[in-house]
Amino acid sequence: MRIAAAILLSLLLGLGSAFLAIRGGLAASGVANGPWRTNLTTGSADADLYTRARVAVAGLLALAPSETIYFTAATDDAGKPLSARCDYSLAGGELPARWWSITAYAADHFLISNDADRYSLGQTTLERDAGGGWTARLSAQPSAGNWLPSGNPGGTGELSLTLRLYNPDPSVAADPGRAPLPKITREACR
Amino acid sequence: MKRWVVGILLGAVAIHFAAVAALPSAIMSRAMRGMRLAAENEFAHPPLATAASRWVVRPSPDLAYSSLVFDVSARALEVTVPLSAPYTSLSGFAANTDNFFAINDRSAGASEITVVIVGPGTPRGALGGERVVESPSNRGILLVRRVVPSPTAFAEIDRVRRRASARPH
Repeated sequence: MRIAAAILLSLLLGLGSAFLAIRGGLAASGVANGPWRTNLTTGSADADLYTRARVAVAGLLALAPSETIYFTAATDDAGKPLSARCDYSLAGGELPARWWSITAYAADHFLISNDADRYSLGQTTLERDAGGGWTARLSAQPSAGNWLPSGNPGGTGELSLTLRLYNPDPSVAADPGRAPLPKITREACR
Repeated sequence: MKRWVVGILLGAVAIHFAAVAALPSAIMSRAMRGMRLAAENEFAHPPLATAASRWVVRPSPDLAYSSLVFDVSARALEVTVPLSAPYTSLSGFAANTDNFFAINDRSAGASEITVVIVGPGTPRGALGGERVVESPSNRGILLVRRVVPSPTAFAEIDRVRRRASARPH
């Protein structure tokens, strides 16, 4: 009886601590750049035990950084968790890559269901200002112009963003903490 | 009592590392089962990702994917992928999730990507001037990514991706 209880306790502690160590996914580790985080060992044979597990859970089949660098944001610029209850302004310029996109994901790491069937902002479809800069609205409420839905109106779920830089400029891998990435500013909340 | 506490903690540490180490291969195995929309060593061409897509986490809705679950334990596999603008890549993922190669439309140096995949157990026959890629495992996943720059571009890209082929070498 005692042995069974000891084994059960070991299992609970071992599996529970493993869950806690990887549950934050790709936004919980790596190099920070404002609210964005990246791990340059993603997809490579150099990835440590925990990075490999986090990638398997939250970014399976991710490419190595020589081909694509992924930045993930689970908070706004002020460090508050992204939520469908709030509206956000995303603002940036041309990003240092051959092609890039920003995609919103629900807490389960799948695309967020929304009536517009919009899931991302892409380099080739974003409307830009005269100077080449762009702003977009991340919100559950539909918005004119560049709009990335965080759910349907009334949505309350947590979310995260993935910025994909395909064939990134070498400067990004050299110093990912200083790459010019989009700002994420919280506006109104319900 | 002290012996019990030490034993429980040692057991917990061992289980912790075993679980973290085993998770990638377990998830990859599940993904390989889930991605077998076509036979092994044949390409499948799923539709563009939507909120209903569940075959892999954090899919990109801007990419037209083609996937292939490979097994090169008995024969090498020759893969040919035609290219589409503005971006195409072919990449390979081992059973432990490592991305062991990626070739894109720029590095291909031709109008299509052609490689021969071999694994640790592949009988080595006559491999000549082909671009041979060594997979760390006999089983894994090949993934073709194609940027779909606008919704209207998908139909043509879909036609191109269906010309991808794989045959025993």
